[in-house]
Amino acid sequence: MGLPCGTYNVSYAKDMAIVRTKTQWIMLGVGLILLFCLPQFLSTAWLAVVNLICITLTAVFGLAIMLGYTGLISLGHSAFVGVGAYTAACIATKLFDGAGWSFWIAIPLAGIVAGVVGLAFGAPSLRVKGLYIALTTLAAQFILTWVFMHWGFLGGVRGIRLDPPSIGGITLGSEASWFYFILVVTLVMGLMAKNLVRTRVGRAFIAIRDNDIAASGMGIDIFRYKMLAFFIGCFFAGVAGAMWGYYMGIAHYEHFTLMDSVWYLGMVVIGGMGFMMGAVFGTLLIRLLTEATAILAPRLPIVGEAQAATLSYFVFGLVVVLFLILEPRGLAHRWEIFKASYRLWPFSY
Amino acid sequence: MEQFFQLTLLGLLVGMIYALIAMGLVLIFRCSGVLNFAQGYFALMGAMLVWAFASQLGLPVWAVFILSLGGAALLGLVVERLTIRPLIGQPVFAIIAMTLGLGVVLEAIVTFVWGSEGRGYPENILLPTGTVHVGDIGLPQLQIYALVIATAVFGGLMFYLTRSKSGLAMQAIADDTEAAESLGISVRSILSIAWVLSAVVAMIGGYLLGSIIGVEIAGLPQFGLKAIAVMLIGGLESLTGCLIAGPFVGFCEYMASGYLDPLVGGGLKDVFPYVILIIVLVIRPYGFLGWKRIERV
Repeated sequence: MGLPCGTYNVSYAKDMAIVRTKTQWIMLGVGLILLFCLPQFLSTAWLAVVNLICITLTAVFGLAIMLGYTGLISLGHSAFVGVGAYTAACIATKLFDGAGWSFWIAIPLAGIVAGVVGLAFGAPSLRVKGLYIALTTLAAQFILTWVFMHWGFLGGVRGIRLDPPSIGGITLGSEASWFYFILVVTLVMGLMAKNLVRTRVGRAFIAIRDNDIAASGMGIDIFRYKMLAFFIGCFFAGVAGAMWGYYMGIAHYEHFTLMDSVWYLGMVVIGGMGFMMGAVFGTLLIRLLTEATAILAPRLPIVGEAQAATLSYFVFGLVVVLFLILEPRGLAHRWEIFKASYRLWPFSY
Repeated sequence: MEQFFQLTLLGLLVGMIYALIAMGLVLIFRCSGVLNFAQGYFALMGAMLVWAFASQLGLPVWAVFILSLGGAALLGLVVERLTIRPLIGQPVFAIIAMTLGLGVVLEAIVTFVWGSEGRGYPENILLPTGTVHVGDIGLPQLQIYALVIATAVFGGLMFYLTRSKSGLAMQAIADDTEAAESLGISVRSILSIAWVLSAVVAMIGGYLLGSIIGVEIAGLPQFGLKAIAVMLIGGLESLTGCLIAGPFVGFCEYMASGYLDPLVGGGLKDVFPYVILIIVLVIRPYGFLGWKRIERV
């Protein structure tokens, strides 16, 4: 947590600020401008990739709060994303019959419903220490997928179709218009996550992760805070799911499988526990690797048509395994080391 | 009534296979507290090895089984040495993530080498498929063999754990790792043995499943996850618990699919073990026969 050379905390506001120096402000500004100009540089296909990355990122932020900060492992994260998608779809098409403004209710409500469903599954196992939470969320994954599939209200095997929403007269039809919307939501959610873990609540989460007995000795109500972490993590998943549903134009159970949950988990693990930047790094790395393998696979001589699709899975699994063995603290840890040495350069310490 | 008996028998026999796969999980969990989410992929790999040796290489039956058992043992050994041992001392989620990643890699390897289509075993290594009639009820011979093999494996494991030196060492480690270590037991080598045994047991389970449902990349690994549910229901540390919980879960599963499916629109078979899992977790988190070491907050 080193600060750049010559920067000192002289006031509480300064101590709490995320952006500290002029250079950081400039980098932030330039970065944001570049980010918002992306549609100018990228083709539609790549813009779709960026959109997908941003939606995934929102879900991964949630998992980072649960797993990285509170130590609750969830194997059902994609099912909670699915709950968000189906909730948004139901609100938009069934409850308000496609009214334009239903979009604004659908997204936060999808988050809340996902959070509540998450709590329903989390509550029995959060009282018990150990890996029971992994098993309950695994159960949640299968049970929720089954509900998506077999509850007639949710459209069964066909899923629910959604019309693209319109914001202030602009219909979100093109990738570029989607990009701006998704980017803004993701940035807001990211900022929320980043700030959440710096508050009293976030510190309680970290205390529970590091040592729950000590945490309860400090007066932290472990069960309550675990439930809260679970709710917030699922809330993020639900918001991501609502965006996913609208963006894809359909809420369909095939998009929310156990494999997807494993991918979310892998992204958090690769990124590094306990850093919000880790979620960003992990998601970017995995998604870009997937794209890279999709492009490269057909050109490799040994890989056949059928195997090309598997290659991305193989690469993903291998990356997760290698990261766990070689750098269990993830990319974010490397980033911290890089920042520290960059700030000291050219001095040795 | 006839349907009831048929479903009961089918359920109990499929449950025996759950129990078999879950026993491998229990072995590992007892000595290291690791839950192996890749067990289903071990089973898949084992089933695939049997198929490859028998069908692709056309080896005689005895050679197929020796080579497959050897292959499975090697897989367990390599996996333990390369991926699990470096993680000793890491938090629980790291090992869970590792076994999940391992599952993804194993599935990709199987798809790479053999393709993703389902396949059946050739005649000579398939268990007999006839039907034995007991009164009015037809019993598939295949599943009687499954029952016998699962029971034999359970007996073998119990014998190993209670009568052999390394088996007793495994029990000691399960009871108290540090005390066992201070008595001169090599935790590392016992852990290797546990993984090897677990992979071999998974391979046998995979072979049985392969005989019954065919060697399917999409279907087989699911059984590994259901076995995790079975393991929790039986109690995480108990082999006998597996033997009770496996048939119990199989029975409930088939009853649900026989009598509840028409009411709710089908597919219950795939989720019912998890429903039982959640119920058991609420009422009795240590399962039927697990150690009551549950800590609550």
